[in-house]
Amino acid sequence: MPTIKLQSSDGEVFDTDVQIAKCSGTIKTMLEDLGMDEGDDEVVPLPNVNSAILRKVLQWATFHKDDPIPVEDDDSKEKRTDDISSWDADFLKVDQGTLFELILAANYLDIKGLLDVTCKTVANMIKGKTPEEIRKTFNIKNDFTPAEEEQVRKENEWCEEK
Amino acid sequence: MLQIPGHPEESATLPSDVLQYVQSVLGASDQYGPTTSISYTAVNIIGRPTNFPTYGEHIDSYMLTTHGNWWREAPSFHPEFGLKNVPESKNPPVHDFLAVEFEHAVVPRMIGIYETFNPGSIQRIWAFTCAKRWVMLWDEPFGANDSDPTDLTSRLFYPQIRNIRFHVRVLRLEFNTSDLAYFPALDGILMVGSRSLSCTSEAPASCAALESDAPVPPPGTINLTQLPNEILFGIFSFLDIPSLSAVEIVCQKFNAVARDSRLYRVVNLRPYWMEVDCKRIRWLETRCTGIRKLDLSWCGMLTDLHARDVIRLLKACGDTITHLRLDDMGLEFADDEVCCIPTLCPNLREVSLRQMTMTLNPALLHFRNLTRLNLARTTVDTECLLDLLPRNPCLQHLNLSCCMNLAPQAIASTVSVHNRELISLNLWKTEFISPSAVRALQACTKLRELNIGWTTNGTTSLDGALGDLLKGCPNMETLFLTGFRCLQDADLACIAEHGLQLVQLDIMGCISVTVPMVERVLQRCTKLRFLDCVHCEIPSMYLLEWSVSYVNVTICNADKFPRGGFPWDNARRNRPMN
Repeated sequence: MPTIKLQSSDGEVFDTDVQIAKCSGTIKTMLEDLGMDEGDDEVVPLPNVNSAILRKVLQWATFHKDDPIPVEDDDSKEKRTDDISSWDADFLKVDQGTLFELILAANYLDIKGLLDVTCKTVANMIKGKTPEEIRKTFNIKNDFTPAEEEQVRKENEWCEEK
Repeated sequence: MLQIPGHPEESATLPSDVLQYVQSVLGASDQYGPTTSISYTAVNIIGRPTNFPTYGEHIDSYMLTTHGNWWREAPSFHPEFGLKNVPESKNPPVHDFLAVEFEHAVVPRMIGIYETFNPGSIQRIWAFTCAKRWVMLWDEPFGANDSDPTDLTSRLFYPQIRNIRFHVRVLRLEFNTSDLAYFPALDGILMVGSRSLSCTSEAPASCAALESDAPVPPPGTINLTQLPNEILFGIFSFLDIPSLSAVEIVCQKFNAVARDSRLYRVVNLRPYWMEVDCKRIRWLETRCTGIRKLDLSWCGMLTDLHARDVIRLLKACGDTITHLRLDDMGLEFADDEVCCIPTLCPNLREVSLRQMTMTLNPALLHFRNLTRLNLARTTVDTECLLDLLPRNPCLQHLNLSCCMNLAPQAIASTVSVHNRELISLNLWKTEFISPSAVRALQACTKLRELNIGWTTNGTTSLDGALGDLLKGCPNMETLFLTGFRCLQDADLACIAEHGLQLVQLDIMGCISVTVPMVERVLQRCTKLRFLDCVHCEIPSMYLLEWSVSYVNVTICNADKFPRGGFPWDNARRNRPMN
């Protein structure tokens, strides 16, 4: 099976099946645009992804290599968050930092399936919580001035009545 | 001291207790007939039970119109939109409701529901408290219903309700009939409680303990707020409406991203009917510019919501709406308010105004190019519809069931000329439809579903009209001929000859048909999966025999079986649904 070399931001090189690497839209375009041939010894640099995250991404891509190509979102297709497979759910049992890094990597590498499932995971962590619970869960600072806060609270009163 | 009837613990009442039955009906999303009728409709829930413990289809009980999932499998079925982000806990599978009022406000201690036909449909019970809020008293996790569909006995159901400290006069029951083998019916609702507060001092069960044990991320790692806006937008696009609202209060950045109108393209507030008031609508108003689909069904019952709030919302964002559902809202729309709906929403394609209580006739005149129109249980009149139908040549689904001012005759004739794209037509429980009008519908060659249940005058025979209809509409899948007493074997012969695509056939109460001809339909219509021939005077033994010989067909049988049922029933129940 043809492979290519992917280099993480911290210099680690990953020998990767071309088929797996190409589930990244970014890498696929790079290979096509640069006319890089399979089997070339050239290294594809990925300056926005460190080795720990790239390893996770490749692990995900390997498991999902036979997935159908995801279709583009449109208005008629409604989004679901309860359809995360158990493999993905296990795969995403990571600390928040890693989860957000994965989101950034999936976004940069243009891997729609991974971006979707990581965003859904974060959405599920938000759902049903009060604002204060959300802040606590994600360690977010309330940066409203008291006057602003009163204004947004008033506007969004219904989630306060729980 | 009063005795509480049939309570499992035989518990007596407290001295301060009041036992009371329903005084009036505030609203019902479903009932077996128009509100002007007294047979099987919601008014029968009023007062003491009249039939309990006698099991059966009593005319003076409240009956619903659905059972199983057949209605979901019919061509007219259109799933609700905008629910995929709603957590299941917030949107359990409830399909209908009944809201009732009692004479005295009490702190409820016990609620007893007299289920006299096919028990097990109740999914949730809500109470409207003196604090002017809806509180859930009881809910059943879906699938936990332990009632056996073959155990056909009455039940006085005492759900284990939550302790609340508020006085209550209004209860609302929510139903799910998908586990039932036939229509459910209720004979009465008992509320037992104290008029004074002192004897129920239990603190209210705190809802949903906070999950605050989420690990605090170690310092130095990336924070959710550091993600770029486009990614936050992607995350928020998976959130339901109350969570979006919560997110707005978290911090400035979230606030800015969550207000993006693209997050509000499809909005369904039906699961939140109990909290939607004018403030929520105003909140939505500033966010949903660009909205495509809006569902406010069920909202407005006793909450601070008025027709003018809905109209103001439509003024703000109506011009992009293509799908609008305002079913069973229980709001009083003034004529001029309704009239402006088509003007405010010029791009509407699908409109559902079931049970809208107002004279909506003038409003209808402005609807153009609709593909779906549901006016079930409204006061729409024939003249207005005759004007409307030609303006909507693309109409595919038309539901006029239980509209009492209608001449289905004239409707059918007009439809057959102007609405040839029609896929489903529902005239259930309207007025008399003549054989010639049924025959005229053959021009709607795309018709796949026709419900003319209870539109017979009881004496006029269909006179071969079914044969012509089915010849003209070769794709007919769902045909409801409920209560056509004059349906003859000759009509069934037409069905057996031309209705070969039929999947659902309802000939309930068609007393003139004979066993061999019904069997002929079963033999010929090989795609048939549902047959209701209850009250056709077909002896039970045939129904049971057929349910074994025609394993792909669910044959309704309202007869009372001995406890435990016949072995055939297990064979039927174990059959896969799809």
